[in-house]
Amino acid sequence: MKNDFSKITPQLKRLGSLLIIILFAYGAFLFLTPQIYRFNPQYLVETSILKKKNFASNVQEITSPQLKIKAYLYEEHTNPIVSVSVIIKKMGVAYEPSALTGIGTILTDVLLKGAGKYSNESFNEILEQKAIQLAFRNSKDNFYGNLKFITKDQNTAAKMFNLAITQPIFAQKYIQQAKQDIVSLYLHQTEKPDSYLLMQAARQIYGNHPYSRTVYGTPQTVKKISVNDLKKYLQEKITKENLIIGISGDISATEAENMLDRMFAGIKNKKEKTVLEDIDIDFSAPEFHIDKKLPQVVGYFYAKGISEQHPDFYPLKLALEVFSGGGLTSRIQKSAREDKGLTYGVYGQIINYDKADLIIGRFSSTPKNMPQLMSVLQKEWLKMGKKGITETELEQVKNYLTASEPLRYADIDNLSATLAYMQKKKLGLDYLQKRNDYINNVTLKDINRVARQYFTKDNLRFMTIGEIEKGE
Amino acid sequence: MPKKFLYSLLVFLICGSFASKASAALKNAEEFFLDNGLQVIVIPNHKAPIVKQVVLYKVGRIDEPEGKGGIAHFLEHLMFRGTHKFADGQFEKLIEANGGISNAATSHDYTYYHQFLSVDRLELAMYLEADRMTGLKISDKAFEKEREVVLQERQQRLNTSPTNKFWEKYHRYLWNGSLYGEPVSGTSKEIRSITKEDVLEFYHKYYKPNNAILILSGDIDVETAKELAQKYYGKINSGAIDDRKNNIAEVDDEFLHNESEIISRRKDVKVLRLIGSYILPHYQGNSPSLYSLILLSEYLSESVTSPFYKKMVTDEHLALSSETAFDYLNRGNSMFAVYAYFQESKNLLKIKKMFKETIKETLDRLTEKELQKVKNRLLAGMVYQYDNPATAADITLRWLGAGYSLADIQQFEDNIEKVTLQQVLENTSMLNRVYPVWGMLLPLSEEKNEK
Repeated sequence: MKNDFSKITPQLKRLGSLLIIILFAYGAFLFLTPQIYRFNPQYLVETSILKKKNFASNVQEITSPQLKIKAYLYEEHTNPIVSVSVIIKKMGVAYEPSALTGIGTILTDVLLKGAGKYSNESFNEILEQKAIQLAFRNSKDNFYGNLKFITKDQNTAAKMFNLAITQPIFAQKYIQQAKQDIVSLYLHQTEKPDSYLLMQAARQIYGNHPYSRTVYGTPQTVKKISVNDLKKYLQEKITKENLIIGISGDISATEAENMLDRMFAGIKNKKEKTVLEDIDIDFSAPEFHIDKKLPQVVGYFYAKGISEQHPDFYPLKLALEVFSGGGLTSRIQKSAREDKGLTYGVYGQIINYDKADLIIGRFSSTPKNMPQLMSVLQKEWLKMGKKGITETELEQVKNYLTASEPLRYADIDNLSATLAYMQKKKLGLDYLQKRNDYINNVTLKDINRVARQYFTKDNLRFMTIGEIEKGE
Repeated sequence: MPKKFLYSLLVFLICGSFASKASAALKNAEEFFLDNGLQVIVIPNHKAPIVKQVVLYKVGRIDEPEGKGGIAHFLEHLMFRGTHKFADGQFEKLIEANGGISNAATSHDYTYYHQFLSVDRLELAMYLEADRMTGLKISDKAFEKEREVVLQERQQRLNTSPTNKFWEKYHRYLWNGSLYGEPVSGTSKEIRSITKEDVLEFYHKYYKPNNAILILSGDIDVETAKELAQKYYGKINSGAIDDRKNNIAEVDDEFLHNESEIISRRKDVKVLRLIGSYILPHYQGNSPSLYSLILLSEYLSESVTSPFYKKMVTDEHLALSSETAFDYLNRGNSMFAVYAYFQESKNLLKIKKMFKETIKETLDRLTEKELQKVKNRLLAGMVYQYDNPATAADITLRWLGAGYSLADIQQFEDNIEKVTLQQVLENTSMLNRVYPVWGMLLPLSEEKNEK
């Protein structure tokens, strides 16, 4: 027995250690296996051979030889097309004479109804046959022109643009038609709950400041606008000093410079004297509600924002994105998903006007769920101010914003519009390439400092329309 | 999660509008095949660091076994419900977290999946798309849950607008037994009868690289595309794919040569609708008939100065609007259709008559000069569409999904320019011989007045 036992013991020992080794190996296997199969999407993105891709060409500043008009140009030759975005500063509805509000919006229509020797029909036939796209748009601060054409038609396109802004026919027939359309658009705005709320909210926020106007003016002012008013206003406003231009697409710098002289031949070179007064907005004023029987309650939240040139712009942008952005990081969306059955449409963004920088967010829900949504918004707003965001959220929001932004530039018109915007906001020639760096460079400390400053009880105002169920 | 599916009418309208703006662009696009048969189309566009990936499977509603309508669409939904590597819903979450836009759609002819993203995220999307080409894994629970979603989607579609029921009824009548007349989603009864095994069998049979097309459109060159396509899709085995041309049932000739109509009456109809469809052959990409009909459709309705619009809306005030569409991007028959929206049912007969007269008159009056203008109008704006990498991918998938080639898209402009006035007259004259199948949606209350 003894012998046997002593014989067996070392064997057992060996067996034991073998077992331990096997167990250990198995454990290590179990431990490592999920690592091997665990998929790391960020690793795939970081190591992608496409990782270094960015906007391929550099934006350059060009100056036209005769009129010395400056523009930003992004040359890109994949397809033979060119897009030109023109911002005309100080020509938005806020800068219109108060007796003539709506005049800019009339222009957006009648400038396309014949010019120079071309009747409305022949003018538009040329545009149609050559696929030259020409459009005008009005906003609070600026008037916009957009011109898109096939490279070989650049001279015709420039000429048509020039005729439209310098020699429009202003036929009575089309002016009347435009006025009618604008008045009915204005009335339509007052009928749609969403836009009616915006109109009323603008009055609440801006008081008597011209920012309370709609681009349609009022039916009274629109009716009184004469041909002479239109002519005078157009001449006064489209001046060299007021121009900001972005060009993108298949055109060389020299061609683009010459095109600028053609587009703007004959415009005035005079100083614009209109000054828009500053405005001080009270963001802590009481909530504003319009009671109306509607299937959906629609609301806006307003808060003080920040200018795009300010160093705290990106920290605030990221904080707002975490609060109520478009991606998965949005805390409001998360809280909606967690509270079953609630669907909130919430999206907030920073809006920069000449005289006001705002945070504006839209939200909507059913009358029943609205009180809960508003309390979630308030609660999360204050939480953001107190605690800021987490390291994980920072990483997620950077990932989302840097990746989603470039999708806008699928459309060449957005590219040229951004080139113009870059000049207006002085963002620099390298903005397209650098924008993602600006986002990636934001630190958690910055965000949380800025959040404390902006996400406060005194900086949040609600405006709603609909029927909010009380109770609970 | 709402998942779009293209029900036949929608396909009809979308194809019509895209097709009429397609062009000879895509000059720098290239095509190649992997060893496993995967067809790859690369459309380089270096404007911005973005890209769209499309994976299209050449299988849709018309390839489904009898009584099991809706499998393709059901499968499209399930493709988001997880694989052996990824949990339910993770596909979309990963794409969304990376700033991308992702969706899928099913038509009668094909099913496709697409992601539009920042180009540095393309490999992620390729990894995920390749993974679900072979790795689909569905639990019984997820399957039943998705069945409810599909059923709900179908109900919603039928209930949201009175016109949807009408279109479905009309298409079934129009196609006279062909599966093109059946809704892509399948009927509720069919959706209920589909089993998990049915779907998996369909998946394993048709979701093969040699039955698929990969489109990469955006900031990528052909060399990189080759490398990445091989890396992610190259190892997937091809499968035995049968020739499914027989599935495309020819429409009964007898039926087409007898004018017929179907009327639907509903009490909630305010705007009355008339549609007349001519079912025509499937034209090859080099057929002058194809381009003649495209030009005719463009001429008849693409602008407010078009003959139809002018006659019926501007001059005679019979209709609120009127248009034509030529829907040729199908694996099966093409179709030429005329539409009118109007308010008074007493105008119905006049409008019907006027459609036929106007086509004839228009063709009689068409001059070389006028034809050139139509060509210019049709071609001029097309390059804009192709400049958007997402839209370029969309248009390409519609042509290729219908069995046309990349060369057909690239030669579109030449093919349009080549068409002579004589050819237009000859090739469209069948519209005076083939009879349209009419569909009418009218209000219920006026029934008595008419009788």
